[in-house]
Amino acid sequence: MIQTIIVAIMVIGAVVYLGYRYLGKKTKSTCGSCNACQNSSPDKK
Amino acid sequence: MTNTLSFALIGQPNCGKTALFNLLTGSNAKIANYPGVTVDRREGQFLEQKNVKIIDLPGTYSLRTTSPDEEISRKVLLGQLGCKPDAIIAVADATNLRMTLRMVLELKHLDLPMVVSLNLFDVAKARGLKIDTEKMSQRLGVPVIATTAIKKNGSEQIRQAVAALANSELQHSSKDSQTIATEIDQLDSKALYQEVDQILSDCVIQQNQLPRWHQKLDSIVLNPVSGLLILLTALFVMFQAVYAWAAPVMDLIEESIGNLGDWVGETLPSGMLNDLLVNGVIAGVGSVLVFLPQITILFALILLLEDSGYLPRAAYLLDNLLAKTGLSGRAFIPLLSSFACAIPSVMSARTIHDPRERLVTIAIAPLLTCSARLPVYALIIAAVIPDREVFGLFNLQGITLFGLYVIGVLSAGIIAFIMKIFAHKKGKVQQFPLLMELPTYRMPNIRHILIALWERVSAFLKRAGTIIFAISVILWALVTFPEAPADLQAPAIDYSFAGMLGHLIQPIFAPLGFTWEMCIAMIPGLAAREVVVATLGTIYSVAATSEEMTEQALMGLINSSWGLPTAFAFLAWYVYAPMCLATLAVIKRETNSTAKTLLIAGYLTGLAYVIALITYQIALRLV
Repeated sequence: MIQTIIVAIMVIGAVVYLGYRYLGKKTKSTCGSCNACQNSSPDKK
Repeated sequence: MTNTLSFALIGQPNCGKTALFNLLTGSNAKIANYPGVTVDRREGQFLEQKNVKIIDLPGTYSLRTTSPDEEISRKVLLGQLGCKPDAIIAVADATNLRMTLRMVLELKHLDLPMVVSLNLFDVAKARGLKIDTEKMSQRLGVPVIATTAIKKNGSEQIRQAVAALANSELQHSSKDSQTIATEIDQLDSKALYQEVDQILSDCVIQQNQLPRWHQKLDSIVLNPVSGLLILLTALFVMFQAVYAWAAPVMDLIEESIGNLGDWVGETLPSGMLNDLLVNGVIAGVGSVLVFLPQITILFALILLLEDSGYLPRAAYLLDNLLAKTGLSGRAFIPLLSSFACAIPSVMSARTIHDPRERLVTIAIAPLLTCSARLPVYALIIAAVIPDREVFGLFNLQGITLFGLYVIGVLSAGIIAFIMKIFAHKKGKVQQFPLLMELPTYRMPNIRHILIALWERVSAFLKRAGTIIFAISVILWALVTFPEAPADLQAPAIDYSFAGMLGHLIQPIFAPLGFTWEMCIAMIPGLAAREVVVATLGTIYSVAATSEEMTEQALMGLINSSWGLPTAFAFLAWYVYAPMCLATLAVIKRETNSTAKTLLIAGYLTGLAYVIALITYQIALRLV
């Protein structure tokens, strides 16, 4: 039973995390593989 | 409460602005020994005084700009992109004073408080150059400070000067931006250079001389025959090293992950959590972590080449070759960045003046193999290509990897050539001559290389611990539920959500020889390419029906279940497919066009499908 609860929490947590990362967080698009694109361009026309 | 001040860091390309930015703000932004690394503005807080914001701007030779990255610098300085900076930190290259001082004179027309950092002072000194900074300071009417931004102790004076500037009463210009812009556009270059020459004759005691070995080395490296041979050898050795040096560490990591899985499996009571951790998380994340040594070696070698000053010479060397495809040497550095990641590559295409050439560079950048594709290639190669020596010297797996990189490069060249033919018919091909400053050779700075390497390695580990971890958990759930009925007639995984979805998609990819597991793996692979490896790790781990299969590493399972034609087709698919949503998002932002983004994604997907189909069908008949 405890195992099932922990598994359920992990699965829901993973869905929420990925959902937030790809759908909820509207910032710059980076893949995270290097820091070359860590630029700030909020007011780019 | 103190007001926030913004100081703009500006100077010509490759004069060490970002190195100085890192020292002043404690950041770790990418620096390299070639022009065009910074293509957008970047902000950081001044370490000494938190109310001062330092803005690192793309390098420019003049405020009369010609390319999109230079335009950003001009607009920021004129206050056309948000607030106007309160002061300027002008970074000047002490080894190239003539060009750099002309820029400082242009900057004075902005009518903003300024301090000049005379950077690369150590290199200038080593070449026998003697500069009277005090006199220069008097002539320019602003403080001139000698700095060596790549050394930690080389920036004390400039820190003090910036702090003094922040604490002084900063005067703002009474002129509006438009008047200043017009004034700058009307400046006479000849008069500016005359003024520069006068300052130089007053302040520079001995002229700059390149060492003889430097010129000798350039005559070999820039020679069309010996230079090309050196370039090809350097790249070939790089890919051989990725396999040869990484193997022992990879074996160690693989064994440790296997042991961890066994330990967790035995320690935890059997059940759902045990299964999730062993077959989902450890199998998924572990199968990606195995490739960390290869990625580290590849990045370390690219960083060494970057820091030595060799890369722009390769660009110069390839200018003629690129011209045949309608591109110029200017496209080389953005394209070279693609070997790390297509995103900085697409962004650094801003340094290209011609809009057509810029679009073509963006369109072909995803064809060059990025580091995220390395785990996919390495997995399939290790699974199906025998680990044996060729001619007693080269490793067959290393040659295959090199071949895949070459296929990417050739394909990019062919596509650019085809686009040139189309553009030619419409009369849109313009050839711009390559004007690029060649940096001096220097011994790579180990501190910088280690910092940059850690940035990349930690980003890879972070991704393994976040996105790949989360995807492995979700995927485990998808391949485990719903549970198979008691009277199962097919493997249990076929009854799962993932099994059902995989079987639904598989007919589309059946002509390419792809199995349903591969089809499933490609979906989360859109988030990051290497996730494909983690997904395959989880699917095969859960699907393993016998203990013998569970103990087999992912490479062994692929070897026994895919076959050569399928493996080759999957490699072909990954050479061409635009399987990275982040890259497509950046293409959309940079081109500012949904149609162009869809066109690029469409042509890459179509190409991937056709080439994978041809590869599979030919291999099927030959093997």
